[in-house]
Amino acid sequence: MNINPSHRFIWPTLLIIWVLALSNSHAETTAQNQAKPEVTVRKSSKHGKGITPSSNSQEDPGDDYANIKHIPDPIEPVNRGTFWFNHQLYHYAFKPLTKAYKFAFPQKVRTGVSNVVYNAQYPCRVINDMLQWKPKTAGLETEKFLVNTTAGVGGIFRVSDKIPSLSNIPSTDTSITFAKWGIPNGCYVVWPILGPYSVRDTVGFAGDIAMDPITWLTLGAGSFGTLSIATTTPRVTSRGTDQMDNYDTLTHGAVDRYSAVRSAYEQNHKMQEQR
Amino acid sequence: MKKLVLTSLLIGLLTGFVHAANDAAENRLKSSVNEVVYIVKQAKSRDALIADIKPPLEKILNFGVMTRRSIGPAWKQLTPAQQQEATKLFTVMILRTYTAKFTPGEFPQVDFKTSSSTAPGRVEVPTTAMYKGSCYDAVYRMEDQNGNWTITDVVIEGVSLVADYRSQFDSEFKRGGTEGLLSAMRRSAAENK
Repeated sequence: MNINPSHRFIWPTLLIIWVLALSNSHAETTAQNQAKPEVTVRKSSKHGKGITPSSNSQEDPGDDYANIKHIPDPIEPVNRGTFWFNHQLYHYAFKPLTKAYKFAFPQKVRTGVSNVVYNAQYPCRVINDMLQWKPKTAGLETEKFLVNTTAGVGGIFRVSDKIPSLSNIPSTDTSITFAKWGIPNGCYVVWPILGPYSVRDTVGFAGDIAMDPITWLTLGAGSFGTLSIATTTPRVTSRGTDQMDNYDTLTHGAVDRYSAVRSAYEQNHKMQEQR
Repeated sequence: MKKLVLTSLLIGLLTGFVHAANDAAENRLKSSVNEVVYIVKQAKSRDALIADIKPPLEKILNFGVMTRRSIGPAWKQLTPAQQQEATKLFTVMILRTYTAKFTPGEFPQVDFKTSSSTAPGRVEVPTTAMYKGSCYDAVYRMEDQNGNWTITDVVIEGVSLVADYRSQFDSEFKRGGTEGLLSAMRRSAAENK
C-alpha cells in the first residue's frame, strides 16, 4: 500500500497535540495538588495507601539524592500494560536479535556502524544547536563532522575523540530544544515498541526522525526493499544494542521494573537537558 | 588591614579544609576502584570474582545509608528488625547488580575528574569508565561518616541508584505497605542469587 509521506504523520500529529493539551491541564492540576502539605504520619503500617511518601530532607540532608521530580503519569494502568507488552517483545524478540547481532559482528564492526549512524545524524544536532542559539557548539559540531567524515572515512572512526576541543561536545536533539524553550513535558507515555517518552519528547522524537538523513534515504529507497532495509538496519541495531544493555542493567532484579525504567528515563533526560 | 588579613586567613583555611576533604574522598575512592579492577583482572572464574569483589565493595559502599534513603519515609514505619532485614536484602540486590556487570579478565578503564564538595562532609567524584567498548559517565557521591569516606550513591549517566530504588520502593509501599515492600525486596533478592 502506498501512503503519501506528507499524509503519514497527520493523524499521529493531531493525536499528539490533543494528548499534549490534555496532559498539560492535568500536569497543572497535579502541580497544584502537590503544593498541598503532604501527610507523612500514619496510624496503621499494614497498608501504605494512606500515606504519600515525601522528603526526609529535614532530618537527613543527604535524602535530597533520592528526591526527583516525576513526570505526571495519569494513564499509568495503560502504560503498565504497554510496558508489559514491550518487555515480552524485548525478552523474546529483541534480546535474541541483539545477541545474534553481537555474535555475528565483532565489537569493532559494531562500533564502526554506530559511529557512521551518529555521524550521519549531524544535521539533526546542528539544527538543534542553532534553535537553542548555540552557534559556537554548532560550529564545533560542524568541525567534528568534517573531521570524522574525511579523516574518519565516512565516520567509521571517531578521529574527533583525539582532539580535545571536539571530544566532549554535548549531544542534543529536538526534545532538548523544546525543554530549553520552556515547553512542559506533558504526561509520561509508554509507546508500543518505542518505549518511554513524555508527550513533549514524543513530538521531539518525531522531529529528530524527520531531520535524520537516514529517514530520507529510507523514504527515497521505499520502492527498493533491500536498500530500505540496508539504511534502516544500522540505525536500529546501533541504537538497539546499547539500549538493550541499559535496559538489562536497570531491570535485572528490579523490585518494580516499570518504576525503575520510568525513574531512569526521567533522571537521564533531566541530565541531558541541563548539559 | 587587620580585618583583611584575618578574612584572607579564614578563606585560605576553609579552602584548605575543602581541598583536604576532596582529596581524602578521592583517594579513598581511587584505592577502592584500583582494588576492584585488580580483582576483576586476576579473577579466573565468575564465582571467584563475585566472592573476591564483595569485601572491598562492602567496605566502601555505605549500605545502611543507601537503604534508608532508598526506602525514604517508609523507613520510619519499619521496626528495627525489619530495618535490619531491609538493609541485608538491599545489600544483596546492589552487590548482585554491581557484580553482574563484570566479566573475569575484562576490566574497566576509569578516569577520575575534578571532585567537588556539595556540602560539608559531602563530596562528588565524577569519573568516566570505558568498559566493553562503551563509555559511561559515573558520579560517586561520598560522605564523611566519622572520618571514614564512604559511597552513599552512584549516579550513572544521570541516573541515581538511590533515586531509582526510591521510585520502586515507593510504588511497592503504596501498593502493599511495609509487608508488601519487604516481600517485594525478598523476592528480588532471591532472584538470580
